[in-house]
Order: sequence, then structure tokens, then C-alpha cells
Amino acid sequence: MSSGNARPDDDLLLRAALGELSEEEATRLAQCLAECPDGDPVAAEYRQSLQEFKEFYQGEFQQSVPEPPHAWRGFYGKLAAQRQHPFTLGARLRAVWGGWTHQPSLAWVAAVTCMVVAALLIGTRLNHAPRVSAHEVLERAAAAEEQAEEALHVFSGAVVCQTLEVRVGARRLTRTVYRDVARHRQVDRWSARDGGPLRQDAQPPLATELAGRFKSARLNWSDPLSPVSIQTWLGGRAKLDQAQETVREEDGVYTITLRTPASAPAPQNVVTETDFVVRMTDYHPVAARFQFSSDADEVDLTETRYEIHPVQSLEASVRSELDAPLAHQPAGAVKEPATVASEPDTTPESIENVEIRALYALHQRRADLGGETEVKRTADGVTVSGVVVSRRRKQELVAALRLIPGIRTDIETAEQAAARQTGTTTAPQSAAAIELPALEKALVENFPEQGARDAFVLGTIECSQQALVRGFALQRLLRTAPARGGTALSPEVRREWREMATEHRRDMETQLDRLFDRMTPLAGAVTAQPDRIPRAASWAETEAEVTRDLQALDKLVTRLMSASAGPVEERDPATLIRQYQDLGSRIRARIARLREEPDEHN
Amino acid sequence: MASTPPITDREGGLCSLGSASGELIALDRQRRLMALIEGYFEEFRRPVYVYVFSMCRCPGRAEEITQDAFLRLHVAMGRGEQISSVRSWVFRVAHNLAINEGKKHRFEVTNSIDGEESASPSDLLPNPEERVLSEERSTRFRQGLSTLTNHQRQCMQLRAEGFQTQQIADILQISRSGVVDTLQRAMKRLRKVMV
Repeated sequence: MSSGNARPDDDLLLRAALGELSEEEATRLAQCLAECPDGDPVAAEYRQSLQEFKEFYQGEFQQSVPEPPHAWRGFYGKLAAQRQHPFTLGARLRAVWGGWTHQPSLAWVAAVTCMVVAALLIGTRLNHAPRVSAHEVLERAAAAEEQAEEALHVFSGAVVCQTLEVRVGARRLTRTVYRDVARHRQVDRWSARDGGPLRQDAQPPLATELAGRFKSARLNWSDPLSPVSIQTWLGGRAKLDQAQETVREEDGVYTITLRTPASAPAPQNVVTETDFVVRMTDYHPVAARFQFSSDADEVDLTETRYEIHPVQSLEASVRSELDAPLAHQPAGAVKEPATVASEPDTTPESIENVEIRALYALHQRRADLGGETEVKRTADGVTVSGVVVSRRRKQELVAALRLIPGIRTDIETAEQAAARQTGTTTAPQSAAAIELPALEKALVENFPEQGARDAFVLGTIECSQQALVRGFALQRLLRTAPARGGTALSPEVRREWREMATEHRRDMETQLDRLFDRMTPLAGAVTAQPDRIPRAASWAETEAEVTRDLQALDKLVTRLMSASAGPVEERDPATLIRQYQDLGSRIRARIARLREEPDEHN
Repeated sequence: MASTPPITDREGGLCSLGSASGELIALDRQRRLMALIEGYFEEFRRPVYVYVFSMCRCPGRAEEITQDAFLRLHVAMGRGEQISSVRSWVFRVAHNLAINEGKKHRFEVTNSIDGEESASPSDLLPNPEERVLSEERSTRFRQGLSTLTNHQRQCMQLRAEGFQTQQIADILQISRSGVVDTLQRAMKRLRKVMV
């Protein structure tokens, strides 16, 4: 501001119009305007301009903006896909890039690095990598399918009506599928291509032949365009990585071509190549082509209709078949993955190997962190049981385990488990248990905005829980063969065991570092004090102590940060913070010991 | 928006359930994060979309960029990134994505909010005299806007969205004084045409 009687600066007048003056500045401006009223009309003009623009922008302009063409469809599917596999390379790269989009200098560095890497890759490999991987498209398509099916579960009586044109060489068929997703019922209707109806109580010979071919190729004939079916056929992620893939993007669709690795001699009725066409806007599969190892003609499937209808609007014969008891449903009508049918080998050595192989397969799919699955030795082999969140997840795990001989799976979805345990209800949380977080004041000071506060609390508790989850995973791993001094393990399995143990320990440390860093501004830094704790006799005992402490730490962090941590004895924030620091120091000291090789102590 | 309660231990659930609850808690946390993102998406998608649309003038592309900005928010929050203002963060990412997209597809980032004629609120006025006055004012407003630079229009738009100058500076990655200066010039130009 200018001194004396001079007119106030335009900057100051504008900030006054914007309502962004500090108290001191506002007082000085008022004094200045009292002495020199010239500034007042200018401020009024600014205010008026801002107001007029705001009215124009919020009224006329916003009304003239067209609605988004896809009405936000696809977002929830993409979000679900991102949730399902947040740690894929693609997602990590996107995450890194996403974090840099507001830092142009880093973005430029990243862009230049990417260009150099791309140039090197082009120089060394003639075949160019697809912009979107087959894996990613299949994942997103599967997530979108799951999302759609979840939505259908909400509306009882909604039936999917899907028409497929099936072409095998010169032979053609039209198949209309009526699928009641909520009740797992399906009715098929067939007709010749010219529309003439066939007999309703029988499949035409071509359909019977195709059902057999699909079954022996481990494809899902009841829903042949299901992306989950393609994933299952590929035998999970490991096999998909081996398959040769190309992805083309044209005319609003992704066309994925997958060729399985050549293996000679290929058994009959194995799919050697498939084209899978997925619509870009909503990741809905619209066509597929299957080439079998036998000399039989290719099978082409094209979706010509996909609609949802209320069951009442369907013709009476379809309705009655959909309402028929499940035993009367045609074979394969209910979508279920093939169960594992390998002959178990029950010698003690093989059971140890099989158990760790199963754990390793689950580990690669992040399913060994407790909750989802449990691996148990039984009299006749190894059983993997558990409850998973979705049908897709179930199929993914079953597909991964299928490759291991001697494994039995007993995995069910949450929905199936709930249906089995009818009548069980969760007791509502007592109102008395809810109170403000112990660190509420510090949280509000550090994060005045509610959204930011939520995100911070969420992230911090996540770190604590992830560390604990890793602690439990390590504990379960220690119960398996090597920790008990087992010597029957093959070198490969032993390597897998060590790899899992190292990864769990490393991730536990990373999560704890993140947790302590986040908590530092609120509860002070945590330092290791190794001399204050007695040394445990073995690595396994140290691990058990760490997990116990992690449990206590998790409860404490939750109590400090959360509004619904449940009843606790201690309410004084200072005492809680002291407890947090003691526990943190102890864990840090013990974790240092876990860096040593586990086998040396057992 | 309503605050989403953080994930909590279900009253010692971890201890009593042992290994069975770890993943379930992680899943619970994921669901809550999803709900949070969906809440932000419902609340902010329209203003972000309008802003991006004014930059690229293509509804499909604006929709895609808007969705992408929220997917990145999900990733960022999932990694525990500290975000002081979610709304500013999403606008900033959407702004950068629109600029990147503009470079990729070689369209000019116009930020033209004065372009097409469309049905205006003045059409709804019953009095013909009022309608003529309103239309005249609207025409002059559009003329005034056409004299602004992209930067000036972006600043004005973000201000109309209710952002403070510091937040606008963060979104556009310029200094706060730069924003004040730009707004000042924009309003002077507008007044020149309007008066």
C-alpha cells in the first residue's frame, strides 16, 4: 500500500474485492480509503466484475455445456479394476505419473527418461509392445463384468438377454441366453440363422459338439464371452505372461489376440489362438474367435444383443425354465470354474512341497495375507479353503492352484458363505463405544480440511494394518516345513519359502517406516532402543513377539486416530502417546533382529 | 461432503480372530477408500468436467480426463499421499491432463467459454424488453471474454468456482501474485468492453 494520502494499490483493492485481506491489511485499507475515497469505486468495480462473471459462468455457460456422452459409465468399472489390482506395474506407473502431473519439472524428467527407454526398446526389439496389455484389458473387462453382475443382484427378477451369432465354418447358429444372475439360472434358445425356431427341448448337434469342445478346452460354454472364462483358460496370471499377446485398438474396440506357447505334440481340442474383442467404452466383450489345436473349424462368436429385462416380460416357457428347480437346469448352466482333479500324492515329502507351492501361488496373488484363504494339510493331501470377496477372485485363485498337483480347493464367495450361514447377524456397535479420537485436536490442527484429514487417517491406519497383516503372514509361514527343520524340501521350494519370508519382513518394515513417519508430527519420532529388550531365543520367537507388539500398536494407533476405536481403558492422549513410543521403539529394535536369516535360528 | 469414518479394529477383532482378520480389514479399508473416492467423484465431477470441457471443447475427451483425474486421486490416496485440498488437487491434475491431451492430440487448449451460442437464461424472461437487455448484456459479455487470454479466462473460471488465489496459483502452477495480476488485467479488459 502506498503511504500517506495516496490512492491504495490496485492489488490491494482487488484482494479486498476477493475477500482475501488479512485483518491488518483490511484495517489499513479502511484507513486509507477514509483518507482517499478514490479507491472505493475501483474496489466496487472489481467486485461487480467478479460477480457478473460468476453469474455468467455458473448460469449461462454451465447450462450450455453438453452432458458427458457416456454418462460417466465405465468409471466405476475402472475404479473397481484399480482396486482389485493396485500393485500391477501399469498401475504403479500410472500412480507415479499421477503424482507428478502437478510437478512439471519431474514430469519432464520422467518423459525424457521414458523416451530414452522406448528408443532403446525399439532399437533392440522389432515387435512393438502394445499400448494396453491384454492382461490389463482382461482385468478391466472382468471387473466391469463383476460390477454389472453385482448390480444385477440388487434387482431381483432382472434377467440378462444375450444373443450370440455362432459360426463354425459354413455352419451357423443363433443362440439366445436368458441368464438370471441373482439365482444362477440360465436358459438357452437356439435358432437357425434365418430365424426359424428349432425344437426348444434339445440342443442342435452343433451346440452339443461345441459344448464338448469348450469343456475339454476348459472354456466356459455357458458364458463363452466372459473375460473371466478367458482368464481361467489361460490358467491365471503366470500363464498369461507366457502367452504371446497383441492388442489392437480400432473402431472403439480392443482386439486381443492370444496365442499360447507352442508345445508339441499339442493335445486335441486345446485352444491355440483366440481373438477377444472388448468394447472400449465399458469393457464389455462383444466377440471372440477360438482356434483349436484339432483341425476343426474356428469358432466365431459375435454378440448381437445384450439387454436386461424383467422376468415377467419373458415368454412363459423361458420363465418356467428359469423358475424350475436347479436339478432341472441344463448342465453347465451355472457358471462355476472347473475344480482341481489332479491325483494327490500323499507321501510326506510331497505334502511339504505342495503346501509351500500352494502358499507361493497364493502369495503371488496377494492371497496369503490372512482372511481370504487357509492352507491345511489333510490325510489325503493339502486343502486350500477360504472365503473371498467375489466370484472373479475365487476363479482367479482356483485357476492359480489348479496347476499344483494334489491340491483340493474349498473356496467360496462371501455371498455363498452368507447364504450358507443364514440367520447370523452382526451385533450393532454400542453407542457408548464411540468417542472422539485421542489425537483429534492435533489432527484438526494439521489437517483443517475434512477430506485431507480422512485421507491421512485412512492412510496411517492402513500402514499399521498392513504391517500387522505381514506379521501374521510371517507367523503362518514359520509353521510350515523349513521353520520346523524340515529337510525334505526341494531346493526350488526352499527358495520360494525364503523369498516369501524376505518379502513379508521387508514389507512389514516399509509399512512401519511409513507409519512412524506419518505419526511423527502428531506423536513424535520413534527410535529403536535395542539394549532395553531381552534377546529372544530364536528367530521365530522374535517374530512372534513382533507380531504381538504389532497387534497392540495397531489398536493404539486406531485409538489415537479413529472416532470408533471401541472401548479402551486409557483416554489420556499423553499416556497413549507414551505407550505408542515405547511400543514403536520395541518393535524397531526387534525387527532389526528379523533381518538375519530365519533358518539359522531354528 | 460427509466425512467417512476411518477403518478401525473391530474391538480387538484382530486379536481374537488371529490370522483370519488381516485381509478382511485390508478389504474393508479398500471399500471405504472406494466409497470416499465415489463420494468425491459424485460431488466434484460436474465442475471438473465443465472446466475441462472449456479447455478442450470435446465432451468425450472431457469426460475421459475427468474420470482419469479421479482414478489418479484413488491411486494417490491409496498410497497415503497427503492431499491438503482434494478439490484443488483434482482440478490441478485435470488441468494438467487436459494440457497433455491437447499436446497429444494437437488440439488447441482454447478455454473458450465465449464460443458457441446456446440457449441462455434470457430466453426464459417473460418481458421482451428485459429479454433484449439481457441478450445485449450477454453478447457484450461474450465479446469481453473473447478479448481475454487463455490464462486470464482460466483464472476467472477458477475464481468463479470459488477457489482462493493461492489455490488458483497451485492449480495453474504460477505464483499467487501472478494470479492477482492476471485477474486484475482480466477484469480491466472486461470492464473496458462492458462499460
